[in-house]
Amino acid sequence: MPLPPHLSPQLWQEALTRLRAAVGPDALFTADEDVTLYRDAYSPVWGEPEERQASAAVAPNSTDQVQAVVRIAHHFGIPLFPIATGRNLGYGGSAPNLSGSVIVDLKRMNRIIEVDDKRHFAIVEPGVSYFDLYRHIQERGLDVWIDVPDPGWGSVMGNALDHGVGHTWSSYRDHFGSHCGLEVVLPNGEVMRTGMGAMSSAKTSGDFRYGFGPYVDGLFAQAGFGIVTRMGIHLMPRPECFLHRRVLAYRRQDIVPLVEVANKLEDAGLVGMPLYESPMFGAQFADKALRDIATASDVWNGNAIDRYAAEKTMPAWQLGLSFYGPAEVVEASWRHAQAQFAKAIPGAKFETIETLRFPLSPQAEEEALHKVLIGVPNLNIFAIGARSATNPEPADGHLLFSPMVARSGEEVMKAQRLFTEGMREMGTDFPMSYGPFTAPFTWMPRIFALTTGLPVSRSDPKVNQRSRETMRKLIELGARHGYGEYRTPPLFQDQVMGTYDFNDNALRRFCETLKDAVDPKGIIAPGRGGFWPRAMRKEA
Amino acid sequence: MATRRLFLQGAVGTAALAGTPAIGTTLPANHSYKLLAFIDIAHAQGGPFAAAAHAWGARTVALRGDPLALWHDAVLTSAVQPKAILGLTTQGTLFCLERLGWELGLRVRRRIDHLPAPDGTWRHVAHTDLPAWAPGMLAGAGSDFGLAAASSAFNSSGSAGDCTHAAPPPHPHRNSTPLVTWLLAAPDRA
Repeated sequence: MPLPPHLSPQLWQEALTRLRAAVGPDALFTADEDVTLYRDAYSPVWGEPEERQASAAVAPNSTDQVQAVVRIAHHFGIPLFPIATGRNLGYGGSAPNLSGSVIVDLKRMNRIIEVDDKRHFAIVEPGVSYFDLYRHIQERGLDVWIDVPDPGWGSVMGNALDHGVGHTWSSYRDHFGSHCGLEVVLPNGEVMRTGMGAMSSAKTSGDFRYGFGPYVDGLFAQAGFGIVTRMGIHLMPRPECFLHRRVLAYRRQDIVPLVEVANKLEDAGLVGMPLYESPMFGAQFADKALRDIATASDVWNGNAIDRYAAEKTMPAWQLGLSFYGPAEVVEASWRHAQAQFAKAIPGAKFETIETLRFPLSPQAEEEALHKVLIGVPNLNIFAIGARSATNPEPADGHLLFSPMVARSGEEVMKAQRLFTEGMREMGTDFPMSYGPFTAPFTWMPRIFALTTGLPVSRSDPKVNQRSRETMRKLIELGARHGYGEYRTPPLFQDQVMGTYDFNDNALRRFCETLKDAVDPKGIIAPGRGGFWPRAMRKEA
Repeated sequence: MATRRLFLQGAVGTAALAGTPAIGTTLPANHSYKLLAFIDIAHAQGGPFAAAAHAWGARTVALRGDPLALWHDAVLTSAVQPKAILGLTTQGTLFCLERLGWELGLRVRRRIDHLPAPDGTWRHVAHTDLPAWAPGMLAGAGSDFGLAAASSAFNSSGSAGDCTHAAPPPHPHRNSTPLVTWLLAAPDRA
């Protein structure tokens, strides 16, 4: 494995001796067979010189041990790359931005400090997974829900710090937005708490996130200003009832009123995450006539799609709506929603998908149709990438391209066309990527993500080369039209940060100024977030 | 749709090895099994595989796609950590279990992908050396390769390598689900 940059083998051995003494011999990993486990399984540079690989891994089990690790790294000038459970697949996994970094694997710090089901928050360490927290709540019969991402095996804290997202109410599915208070080991080894945790006597660190003064928590998400060792997160009170209902719309232009009404319902607090889909997406792979419509140059006027929809009685769009709350309230909300959609979209139809009352029996939970909508962590998402009629040659993994698009139907159609025609001009044919049936994801509140996956391979470098080139072009194309990415693998973080270019990249320059002040030696995750300390900057 | 009861009946009915496979999704709190088998109950080959695993002394655990809860119950909160875990699942399930196994220091030591063709035949692709008899046994079993797959995974005469991060072999046929037989165990240390 690579050594940390600019470190002699002798000093490296000395550093390892001190790290071993700090965490114990069983928590320092230097053998290739152990360290390779921290490779990014979805790396787009798998086995190539550009692949970023760690030099070693260390697994502290307490904040004190994290402090000791950071102080040793600071002494020797060794870059660290902290991971919680390392599941950030599609956005970099557990591999560092800088080859030779030492992974600080926080999985052993897996204590659930507190769950309060009267004030609705939890305080957790980095190694607590969604599944751990879910089980903890279930086994104690606590009256709270968690919001879970796809998939649910990752860290509650790690996902929040990567700006990860979930599937329920807007207040909860922005996981960083719902966090409340951090404990952080700074690059000099000092421990800091934010929010009310900064007041030693306060008992409200899980309730009130601001405390007093600047709100600095954002510096510890998608960035390397410290190692977070504890986090509070707000939880949702367990509802009495869940309704999943669907609106069907039969014209391409119906996406405009569909989004307008859904925005109003969601922003008024009447529905959870809107789930947009087009049944024509899957259908195009089973019906050549529809695929021909989808790939024709005049598809964007919508006429052929509307004719096909009318002929086949197939909706151009469908919208799943989640209602949470007392039975009489959610039923009334659904009636109200139907009236709004019927008024805005002539010919709209409505479907009942699922009705659940809580608590669920184990069997009912297993049979639930869309578990993430009710906060049940699972790994079903991996079945989506499996071989199927629409995905006959699944990749070994994927790169995720996630441009953020304004929450309107017009903007969705505009972005669809931009990325579809853009990929065509690139000569790239990924039929699963973009087209007129690409639906927006609504994981992040008040914004759409027109996310797509580009294939990666662990056996064919040509696949990776094509996906890397496509990714770089998509980032550039999107930025030219104001569609910025919210999250990206380390290989592309410099480029994405560069697209946030207002006033000569003032945001990046400010982050660099802070990095130079707080972590001039680049001890904590240098390059994470697309900015580097002065000594590592390319122009230096 | 396959149910656990049907699966169990199928396992008993088709088992070529003696013994009743004790397949279930929950484990006794203090069980002493050191060998676990995860078997996807949606596939017919799982019955004979379960019977063979049971005959070899493994605790068999049925799953239906998503292994997360079962991993927690059968492995993480078990009083006795398994020394080895084997299974017959989809490739996607192995992808998940491979990563979950990392945290216990386990590696994919043996992997055989089973690739169905439209004519009903199966091709078997091993990522490590198999016992000399295994390829013929697998090829001769037709679609009923569950027993042969389990025997190949269990048998220690073939060398076990490290197939962690292995790429699944190409498989051009739509509308078919490849399966994979695998063994998770600790790596050999120098």
